[in-house]
Amino acid sequence: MFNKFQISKIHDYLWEIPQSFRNDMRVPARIYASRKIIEETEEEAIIQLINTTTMPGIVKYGLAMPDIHSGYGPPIGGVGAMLLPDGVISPGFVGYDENCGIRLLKSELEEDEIQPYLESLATKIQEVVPSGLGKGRRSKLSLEQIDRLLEGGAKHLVARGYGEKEDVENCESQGQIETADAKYVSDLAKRRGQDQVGTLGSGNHFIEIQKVTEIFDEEIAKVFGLFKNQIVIMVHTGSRGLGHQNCTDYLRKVVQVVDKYNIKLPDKELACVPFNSPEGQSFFKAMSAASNFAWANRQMISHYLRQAWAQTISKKSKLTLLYDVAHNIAKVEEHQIDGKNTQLIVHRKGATRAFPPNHLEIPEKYRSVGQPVLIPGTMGTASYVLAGSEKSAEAFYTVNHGAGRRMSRHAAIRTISPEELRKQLAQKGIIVKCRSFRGLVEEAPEAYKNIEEVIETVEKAGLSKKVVKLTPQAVIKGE
Amino acid sequence: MKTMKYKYSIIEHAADIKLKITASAKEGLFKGGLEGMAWIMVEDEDIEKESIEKRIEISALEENILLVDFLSEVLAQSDIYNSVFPEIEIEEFTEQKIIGKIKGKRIKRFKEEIKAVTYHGANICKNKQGLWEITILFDI
Repeated sequence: MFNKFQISKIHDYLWEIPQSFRNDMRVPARIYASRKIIEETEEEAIIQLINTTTMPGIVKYGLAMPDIHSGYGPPIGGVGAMLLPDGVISPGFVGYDENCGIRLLKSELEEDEIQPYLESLATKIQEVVPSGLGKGRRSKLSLEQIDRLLEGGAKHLVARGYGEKEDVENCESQGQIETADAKYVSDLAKRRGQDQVGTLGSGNHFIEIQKVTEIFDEEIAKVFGLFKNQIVIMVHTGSRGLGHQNCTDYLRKVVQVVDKYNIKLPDKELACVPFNSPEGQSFFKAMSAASNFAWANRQMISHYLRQAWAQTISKKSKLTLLYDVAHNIAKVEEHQIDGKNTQLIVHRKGATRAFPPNHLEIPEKYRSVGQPVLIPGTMGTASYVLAGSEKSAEAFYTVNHGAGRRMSRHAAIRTISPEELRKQLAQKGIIVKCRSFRGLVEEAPEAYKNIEEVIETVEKAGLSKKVVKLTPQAVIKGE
Repeated sequence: MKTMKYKYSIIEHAADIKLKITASAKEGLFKGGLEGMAWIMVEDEDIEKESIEKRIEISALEENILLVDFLSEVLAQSDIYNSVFPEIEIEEFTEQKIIGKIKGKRIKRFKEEIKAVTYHGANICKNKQGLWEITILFDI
């Protein structure tokens, strides 16, 4: 494969495909990976990464993180930064689940204090946070209420009593992107979101009760408020049907106008328009709104989690937000290009922003140590909290968003026995609340890359610094 | 209208689902796509008795985009009405337009949440047997 793509090694954890590999490449493609990961990467994912380098306005490199795997358009784990004002913005480089992301809530309690109540907590969480796939959906919001969430995000919900002041302070973009404009989101998208606020979705979305099992950096852990044996709760979900429809709507519009801007692309899913074009601006406002909806969704889930916690564990001890970060988004950011501060539209599709110490866009309380970076593992394996580092400037301050799939869902169903998986998880003492065996098997650890190898790559490449390791105590996948 | 045969099958993909549809006529790709999508979305035991019909009208620049946009619209209707629509009564069909009535059933719950129907690799072509064929990638 190395010969096929002319891959060369930059260092042990970074590989490059030169711009000369294909005539339509505007910049080289780079992949952060160990040798084992790069050798295991599917050819289709590498082709998809190379395809992103053909997009107008892309600067430096088309990048992929160590959790790279094939998607459609760009690969999952892909990053593309385009020069403003006329570099392109692409709905497909955000992904259909706009602002899918991770949030981590910290408790003040240790594992032994909640162990006797763990089963009832997991059951309660499953009851109060629906997947949204069944009839147990929550009551419908009006379209006016949806508009307020689209423009106000998590901030709007906190102002209405569904959260704490810290929930806003500790959220990326304070849970509200101001460029959002609800007028640019279709009624169809809004209608799909009416009964989905506070729902998880399916697939790899989850809530996990975790324990801090290892501390790698005491000082940063202290700043983040993390300690050994502490119980924390991780939430992984996004903008649900509203975001899916929003991306679909704009991809449909953009596909029709690429020729107008004389843009030639190898895959329709890369369809894009200049950021400063009317279509580009409309999509940016709509995607910002859908992102706010996703933050509102995770905020509402936090509200339900706090109710479940109060009912089963303690009314006095609280769940506070460590951080909430998107991993499917396009954001306007300033980066150094050729020694100059330059405005870019940075697309991260299955990739996590990871700002370094002293960056003004991270909460003041974390500014001395860097942004908390939340990386989930797979069901039954560890997750990690890291801290952003200056070295990752070379990757537009980005790291991976998870372990990355290595086995198709069908291969997982064929090769992994649900009974065996349940037994394995039970042996590790992990409680699982999942309605479908099939859903469980699809997300089995064997279906993913080894998270330890992925995290080691991130750290050895200097993109972020390990702070703590989290291990699952209970996994909840909705009703 | 002449009898139209179609079939569909799932192809492996790392993270998502690919549906391969073959048909003797192009309309069959639309019918097979509908049925295949419904099959991905729901278990038989979760289909209820109550029927539901919706009128649908989609236009696009060309047939590949038309098929993806058509399935996207049906997906949205499924989500809003908690239903699946495995059938369509086609009233008008060209390479740039489809008008008809989609017919389905209410459901108890979805088995799989399809986030989107993608344009990735969607290309209607004739296979060696002389049948029309397309592979659709669903983001799940």
